[in-house]
Amino acid sequence: MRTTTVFDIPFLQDAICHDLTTRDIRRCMLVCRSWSTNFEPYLWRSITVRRRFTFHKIMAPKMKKMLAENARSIRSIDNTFAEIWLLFQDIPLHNLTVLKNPSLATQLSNLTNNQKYAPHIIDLIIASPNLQVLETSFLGRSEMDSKRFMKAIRNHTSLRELSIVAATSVYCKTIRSLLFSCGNLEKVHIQAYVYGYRQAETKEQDMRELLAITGSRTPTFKLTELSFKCQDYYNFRYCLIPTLHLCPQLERFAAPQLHYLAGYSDIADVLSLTTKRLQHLDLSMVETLGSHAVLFINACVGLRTYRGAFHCTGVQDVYEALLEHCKTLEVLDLQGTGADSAASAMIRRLLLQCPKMEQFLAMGPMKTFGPEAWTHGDPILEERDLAVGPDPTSSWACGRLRVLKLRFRGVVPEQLVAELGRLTQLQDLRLGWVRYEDEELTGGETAVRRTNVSKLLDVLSKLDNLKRLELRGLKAFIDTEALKKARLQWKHCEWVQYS
Amino acid sequence: MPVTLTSLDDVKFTVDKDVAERSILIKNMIEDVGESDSPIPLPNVSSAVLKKVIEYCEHHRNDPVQVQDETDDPRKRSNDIEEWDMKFMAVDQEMLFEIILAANYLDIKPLLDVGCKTVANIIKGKTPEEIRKTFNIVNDFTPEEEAQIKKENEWAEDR
Repeated sequence: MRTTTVFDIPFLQDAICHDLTTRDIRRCMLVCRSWSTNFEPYLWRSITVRRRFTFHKIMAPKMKKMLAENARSIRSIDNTFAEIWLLFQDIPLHNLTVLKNPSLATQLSNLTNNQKYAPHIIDLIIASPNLQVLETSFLGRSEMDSKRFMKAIRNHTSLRELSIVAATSVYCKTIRSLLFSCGNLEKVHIQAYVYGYRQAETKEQDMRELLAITGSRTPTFKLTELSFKCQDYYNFRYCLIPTLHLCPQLERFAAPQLHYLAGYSDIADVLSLTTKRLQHLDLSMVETLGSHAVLFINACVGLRTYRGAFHCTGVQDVYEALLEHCKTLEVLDLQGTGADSAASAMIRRLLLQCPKMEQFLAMGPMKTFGPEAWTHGDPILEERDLAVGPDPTSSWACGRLRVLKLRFRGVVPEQLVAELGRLTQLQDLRLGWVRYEDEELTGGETAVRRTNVSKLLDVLSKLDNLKRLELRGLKAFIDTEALKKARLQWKHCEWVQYS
Repeated sequence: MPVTLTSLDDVKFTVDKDVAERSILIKNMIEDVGESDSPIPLPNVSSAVLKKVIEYCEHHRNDPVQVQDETDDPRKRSNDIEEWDMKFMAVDQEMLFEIILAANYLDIKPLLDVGCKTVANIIKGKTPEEIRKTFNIVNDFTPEEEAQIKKENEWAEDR
C-alpha cells in the first residue's frame, strides 16, 4: 500500500515519532496491524506516571513482563510513585537517559509508600549505565541509604546533570557529602533548607573527611553549573565554600539565601579566586547590600546573564559594575534593583550600551505583590532621562532585544515610542506606566497621553515578531479603535493585556 | 555555475550550483565527478516532485548549513515550522510523502525534518479511526486483537 511507505522506513518513522506524544503513538498502534508493529517501540520511549489512575494501570500484573520486553526502548521515566521502582528491579535499562522523580515527599496521599520504596531508585540508577539526567527529591532516608545514593552518583560514569529539590530540611553534613560526590557531574542544582551548624572541628580533620569522599588528595570538579538555592545560616562555610574551591570550570552560579550577610563576600571571593569562566549569575534568592552584588559581578569575566538580588541597597554601584560588562550582557533581570532615583539614568545607559542584550527584565509580575506594591523595588525609566548624556539623540544599542519588561513615568514620550519601534526582534513586551506621587491629570494632559498611546500602538503594530504584549497602568489612555487596528496588523500576537 | 538535473521521466532542470548543493547527495556527486557539463541523473525522483524540491532549495539557498547535533536532546528541538515551509507543505498527501522520500534520497535534512513534522502534525490529536480515514488505511485487526492492544497500553492514554 502506497501510503504506508513513509512509515515503513525506520529512519523516517523516528523523525515523525519524535514530535508525537505517547498518547498519539498509542492511537497509531490501534490503526492497523503494520502500524501496531511499527509504532510499538516508540510507545515505551518515555513513561510518565503522575496520576494515581495511571499508577494503577502500570501496576497491572502483565506490566512487569511488558516492561522487561521493551526495556531497550525506554529512554525517560517521569514518575511520582516510588512503588514503581520495584517493577524495574532486575530490568537493566540500557537506554534510559532521563529519570525524574519530582516532589516525592510532598505527595502526601502516598507519602508512606513513597518513603518505604524510595530507596529502590538507587537500584535503578545503578542499573542504568547511560543515565545522564537525574531529578529527584530523594537523598536517602537513613544514613545507609544516603551513603548508597551518593556512592551511586559518584560511581556513575555517564551522569551529567543532577537536580535535587528536598522537601524537608537537610542536615549540613549530608549536603556536604552530596556536593563532594558531584565532582564528575557538569550541572548540579540543589534546593533545600540546610540545618545543623557544626561546631568548629580542626580544619585539617574537616578537609580530610571531605577529601576521603572524593578518593583523591587533590580533586578537581568538572562542574560548569552550580545552583545552590538553599536557605542557610552558617553552614555554607562547610558545604558551599570548600566545594567552590574545587570548581575552576564554573560558568553558572546561583547563590543561596544567607542569614549572615558578610558570607556573601566570602563566597564571591572564592569565586573570583577559583574560576575564570564565570559568566552567568543568579542572585534571585539573595537579599543583601549592593556592595556584595558588585563583588559577585566583578568575579565574572564577560558577564552574560545576571539575575539580580530580589532586594538590595546601593543600586548605583551595582549598575556601574554591570556597565563594565555591557559588551557581553545578554540577559539582565533587574527586578528589585531599583529602589533608587539613580536607577533611571542607569537603565538608559544599559539600553544604550549593550549590543548583545536579548532579555531586559525590570518589571515583576503584578500578582506577586498586589497592585500597589509593584511600584516598589523595580526600576523606573523617567522621561527626563530619555534624552540626556553626551549625545541625546543616540539610540539604543540593544537591537537584538526579544523580551523587554520596563516601567516608565511621563507622557509616553516620543523618544521611547521611537526606540521601541526599532526593536524589530521583540517578541514579548511588558510596559508599565507609573504615576508621579500626587499626580492629577487635567483633561488636556490625559488627551496628550491618549494620542501618544495611540502612536505607540501604531508603532508596535509594525513589530512583526511580537507575540505577547502587556500595557500596565495605561488602560485609561488606550483608544479601543487604535488597539483594534493594531490587532489586525499583528501576525503572531497571541496575547494582549492592558490594565 | 549552473547544474543540470534529470528526473525519472527525463525532464531537465537547470539550477544554480549552490541551490543544487542543498542536497548532500548531489553535493557529493559533484565533488566526486568534478566540474562537468553532463546532467546529473536522479532516477528516483519524478519531475513534479523535483520541481517542488528545487523550489524549496531555492527559497532556502542562503540558510546556514545545519550542524548535526549528536546529543539528540529533545529539549533543544523546536516544533515550529516556518510560515513559508508550512505553505510549501500544504500539498496533497501523495505529494507530501513523495517529497519526504525524495528529501531522504537526496539527503536534504531540513526538508526531511519539515516533512516529518508535517506528517506528525497531521497525526497529532487524532483518534485511530480519524487516522485511518486520513491515510486511507483499512483496519485489519480482529476485534479481539484490537481489544487486547487497547487494554495493554491503557497507561499511555493518560497525561
